[in-house]
Amino acid sequence: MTSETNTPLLEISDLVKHFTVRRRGGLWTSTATVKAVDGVSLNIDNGETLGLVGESGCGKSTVGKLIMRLSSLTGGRIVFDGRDVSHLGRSEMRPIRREMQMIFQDPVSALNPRMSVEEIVGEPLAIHDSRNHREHGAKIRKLLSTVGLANSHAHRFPHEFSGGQRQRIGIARALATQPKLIVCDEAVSALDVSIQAQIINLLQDLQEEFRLTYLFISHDLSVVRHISDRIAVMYLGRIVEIAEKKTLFAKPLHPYTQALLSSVPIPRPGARKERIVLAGDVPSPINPPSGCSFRTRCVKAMDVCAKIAPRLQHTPTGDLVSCHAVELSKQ
Amino acid sequence: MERHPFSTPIGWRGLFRIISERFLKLRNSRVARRALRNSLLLTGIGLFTFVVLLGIFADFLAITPYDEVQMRHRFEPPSAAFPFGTDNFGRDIFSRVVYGARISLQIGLSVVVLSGISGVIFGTLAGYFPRLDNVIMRVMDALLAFPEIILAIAIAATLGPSTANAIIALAVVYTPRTARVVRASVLVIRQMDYVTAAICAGATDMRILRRHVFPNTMAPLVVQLTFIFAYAVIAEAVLSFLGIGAVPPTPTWGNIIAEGRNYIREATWISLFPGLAIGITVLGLNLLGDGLRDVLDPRMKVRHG
Amino acid sequence: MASPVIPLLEVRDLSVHFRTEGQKVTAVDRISFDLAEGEVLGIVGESGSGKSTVALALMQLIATPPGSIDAERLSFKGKDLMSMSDREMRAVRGNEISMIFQEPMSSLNPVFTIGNQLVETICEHEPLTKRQAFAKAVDLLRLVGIPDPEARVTDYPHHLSGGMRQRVMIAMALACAPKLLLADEPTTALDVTIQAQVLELLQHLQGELDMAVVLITHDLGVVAEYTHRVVVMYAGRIVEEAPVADLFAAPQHPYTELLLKSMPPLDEDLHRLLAIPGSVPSPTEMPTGCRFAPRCPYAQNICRETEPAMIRESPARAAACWRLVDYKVPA
Repeated sequence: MTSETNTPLLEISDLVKHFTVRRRGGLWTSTATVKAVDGVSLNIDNGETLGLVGESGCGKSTVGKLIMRLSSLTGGRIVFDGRDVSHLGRSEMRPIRREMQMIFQDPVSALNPRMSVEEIVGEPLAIHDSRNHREHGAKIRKLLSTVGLANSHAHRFPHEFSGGQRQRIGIARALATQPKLIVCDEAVSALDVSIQAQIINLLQDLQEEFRLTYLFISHDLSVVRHISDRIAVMYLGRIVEIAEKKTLFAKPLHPYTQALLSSVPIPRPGARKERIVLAGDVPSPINPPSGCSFRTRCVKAMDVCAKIAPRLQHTPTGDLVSCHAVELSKQ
Repeated sequence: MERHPFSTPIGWRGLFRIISERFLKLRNSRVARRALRNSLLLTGIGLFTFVVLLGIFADFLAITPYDEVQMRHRFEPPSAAFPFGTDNFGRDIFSRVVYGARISLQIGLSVVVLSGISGVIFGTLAGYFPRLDNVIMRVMDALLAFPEIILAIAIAATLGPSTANAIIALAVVYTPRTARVVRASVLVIRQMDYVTAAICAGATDMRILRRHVFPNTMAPLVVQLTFIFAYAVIAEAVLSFLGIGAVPPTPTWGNIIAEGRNYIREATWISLFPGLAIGITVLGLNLLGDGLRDVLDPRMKVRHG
Repeated sequence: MASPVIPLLEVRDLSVHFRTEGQKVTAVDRISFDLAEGEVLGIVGESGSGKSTVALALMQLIATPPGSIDAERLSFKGKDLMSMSDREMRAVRGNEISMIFQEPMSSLNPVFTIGNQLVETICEHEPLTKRQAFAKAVDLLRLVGIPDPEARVTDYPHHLSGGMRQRVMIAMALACAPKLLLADEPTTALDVTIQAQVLELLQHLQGELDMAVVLITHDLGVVAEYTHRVVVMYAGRIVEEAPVADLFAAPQHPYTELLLKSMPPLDEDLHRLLAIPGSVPSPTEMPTGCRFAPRCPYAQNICRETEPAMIRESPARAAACWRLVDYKVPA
């Protein structure tokens, strides 16, 4: 919790990822730049869970991919465990990959249908620890029992499992190399509520047992609230607010966070609060609005918002928010 | 109740199941179950197995050597002694067709193996490495632009008539088909999360291709290859018919038909039986291919033809 | 609230079977419910509960074969839907019962403008000229809150965002002022802020046009905020039926109870979620007795042997659980 004394496990600063897309316009194709991630900075401390929320297209998954170095960065820096990994090549990354793993959303696409559970979970071991392959069998069985699967499952194939069980297999694979950081990209979004709870509990148990650090990317605010210590809210490639979860939910500062939180239907009839229904759609990341990218839908938009993009500023509680309106009210 | 696997109630479907599960290690029981229920596939397997057995046991089935000239038995219609009749040299058509099966199957199999291998290589390179994609696929498109049989004739004619050259010509002609199928599935597989997971685990490209990409391209490739087998059988017959395939007196279905064409009115059987053999083989392979496609993945949409 | 008049929709013992690969699978098994005019009924359930199949069966949109529909009674405004010819059914569909689907993109034809598609729908059911129909299309788009409808009618579906497409779908569904709207996961593919827009719109239109709505969803929050009465489905059966406030305040069926508890709350901190063990039974291996028994913490022997009937406590409230029987029978 004391982020000042410890160095964070992961530090990213001014992360930028632009994609070039072809646009068909008339006779000639022109290219356009999609600003998927446009200057994202955040830290994750050892043993903490940082939730990253936002709507589709806000760039949250891209941030996860960039951290995993699955995609090259356009700009910025990623420092993992004290080491700058921003521009490491594939072979230089290999030893570092042991320490950071990923859990995916789609339990079908995440597992190779032609490999048995044993082969799937054993693959990271085979890559990083090929000398001790005799011990792999025992390790794989241990991993399976850790995630709540039976030994007898080892020789089965993915299609023989339910969605929740497949997600457990994916988690076992991620744990195989004893990583420090796990990026969970919508890891429970494809699951039914009752199964989702099983997997969330499992992730929390594992965090306690192995002192894991999670970056938990999700669009589901109630899940993120439950599992995270701190939450970062993204909109159109930028972070608009980062706060301890309690402060974020009790007193969201950014107008977007406020609207987002008020949009979530609450499963208690009559509990409905004042709803801020945002007008219109998320603008295209090809041509984001000038200044603050949220200003086109913001109820508190002022003249300055169109001119100057706000920067993340510390709030009195030590959280971060990027909004001109919040700064004004502070003064 | 325990049943002996060979007792009648299980029948040949049961036998097929035992073969597929015990011997072929088809661990995916869902596929096996679907296969057993697919009558297209089973008919295809039946017909093709029949032709294969003919080829394998040609030495036993052909009592008369295929090249034994018996001038007193010229142009004999089908009879007990010569089930398919004899040709203008008095050679037994049955023996020739049975040996012809061997040659056709050898050529078909060789073409399948060669075009399969080159298709996997080119298709994988094109699909997995975007930089190579354009170069490789434009060459493949150029090959596809020619009518296949014309291209095969041109290559075979240039190389000179022989079985090996016919195989090379056909393998070249069919490579674009396999390469396209492989590339299409590689493009899909490359986007799968399990490939991403493998990268996260630190896998090399080689490992990803070997363990993740290749095994998952097999299903559509195998389906395509059964069709190519059928095309190759026909194309080989065409090459032999034109005299640029296997060299006589080696009997192939194509050259038996070619030799019989002068006597087609008087001794129809000379050309008829090898023609039927081609028909049965191609039908069997097409049924097999369609059936496999349904069984391996009902959603798979591989176009042939 | 229960009135003696004929309900708008009356469903008695509706079953839907599918025949696949030689196996007969029962997707919906003997379900019964009523719907009054102007009422919003929620059907909740996880994947595999058969909730979407119910909607398709009501619209007689199940392909037969492989499907087959059985019902003792399936009547709309007193008319039997089961005995209708295809032609009569076509007149009911769109005119009196409309449906909107989860994926608005696949429900719209990409090669026609949305104006074209609306006009086509309108002309199929109303004797209007092209020009009149076009004017009505513009009105409908305005009704569903699409900005600048005169310009949007000439757009193609791919020009619109997901939320806008769903609005167009709603406009199409409302083209003939139906008495009943079946909404199958209408907002599942949308982001929360857009979901809020679409649901607010639906609620507004429901009141305005006095439509009855069947809202099929897996999201208990959506149910709590937008429905009057709820039917909970599990593995093809209705396990509970209740007015929305009662359902959330005092669920009677263990499945409902556990489902509510397994959701991470948005306004409260829990250390651990309550997870329902196991997973939904596969339709080919339905347990005998109560289908929830294998996962139910209260399961007794009788639950595993005999399936409980719906125990009706009041006209609006019923649940299928043996525990309710025990309470009723004096010891």
